[in-house]
Amino acid sequence: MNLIELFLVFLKIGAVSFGGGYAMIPFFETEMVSHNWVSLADYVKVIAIAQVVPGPFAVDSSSYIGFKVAGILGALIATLALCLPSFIASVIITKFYTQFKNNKYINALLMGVRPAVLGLLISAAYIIGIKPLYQVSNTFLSLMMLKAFIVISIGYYVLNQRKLKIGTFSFIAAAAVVGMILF
Amino acid sequence: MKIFLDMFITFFKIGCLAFGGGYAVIAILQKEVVELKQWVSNDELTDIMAISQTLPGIIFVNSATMIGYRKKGILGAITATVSSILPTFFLILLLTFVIWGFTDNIFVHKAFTGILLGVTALILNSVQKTWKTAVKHYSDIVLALLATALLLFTNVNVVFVLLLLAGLGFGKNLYFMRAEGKEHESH
Repeated sequence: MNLIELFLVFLKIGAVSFGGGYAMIPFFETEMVSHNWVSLADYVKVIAIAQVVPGPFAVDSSSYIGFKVAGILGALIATLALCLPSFIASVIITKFYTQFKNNKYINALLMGVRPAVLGLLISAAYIIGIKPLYQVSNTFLSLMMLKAFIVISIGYYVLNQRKLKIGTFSFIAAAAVVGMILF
Repeated sequence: MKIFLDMFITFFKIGCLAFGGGYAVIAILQKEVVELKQWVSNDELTDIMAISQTLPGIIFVNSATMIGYRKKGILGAITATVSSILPTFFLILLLTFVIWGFTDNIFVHKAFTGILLGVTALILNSVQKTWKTAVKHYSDIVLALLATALLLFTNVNVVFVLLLLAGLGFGKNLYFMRAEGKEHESH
């Protein structure tokens, strides 16, 4: 029963998660919390660990959540269900690429959904950066929040310095060190 | 048969190297699939990446599916898709299993807090990049703000928010296309 539910939930996420990557975080969070599968505190640990695992971060999420619900079979089912809708869409689109490319309805839809992806990303930033701290201190006005705000701002500033050309790995390692010193 | 094995090994290898998300993987695909294996041309890869980003789901996996399908039909698509996911699938379960015991340690906990704030900065950075492709008109800003407000300040389900915004964006784009078409006619 759990397996069927797991399959359907991840199939749904796979079908609607436009934007990919971090834009998928709000979908995972909503489902795992409402089904009581994984707590946010545990999920953000997995996101931290996923930074040193190669490959798509959505697969990190589906494998972990699936594993918590139903072991290795759960991990397999969640991950396959997540990839199935876009697998089918990719095959169909490759087959009829030229027709798709010039279809104005499809273009209107694919372009139309992009602003929503911005909302998903901002929501993901909140879920990862602020919400876990809020769950600990229960207020937005604390020293911890102020420190978090400063670290995020500096990180954002550093990433925007084209001259620095900082790699994701060294950036994450630096963030870990800053965390150990400041928190 | 040999091509399937070759495909499996190549996408498994790319899966092992793909640190840093969807966009970082483009450079690796270019080297492995275009230059070394010559399964698709550079132009085809550019097309594939553009479509992968607009489809739901994972950009890297979508492009693996398309490359596999172009080269060897549905079996090629399955081979490329599965082998690109496998490294992540096993590594995250293994690593989580190994590290979990340490995550209650105070220093690991502090380091994780720092990492998550770093990831938050990375996400905000991708907001900036996505902005360039998503916002073509001031109405797109209105839609983006509406999505953000619904997700952050209400309990409306995220799937519903996405479907609502997709409908609004679709309708808006059709309206503008029609208006543009009429303008062309009158000139």
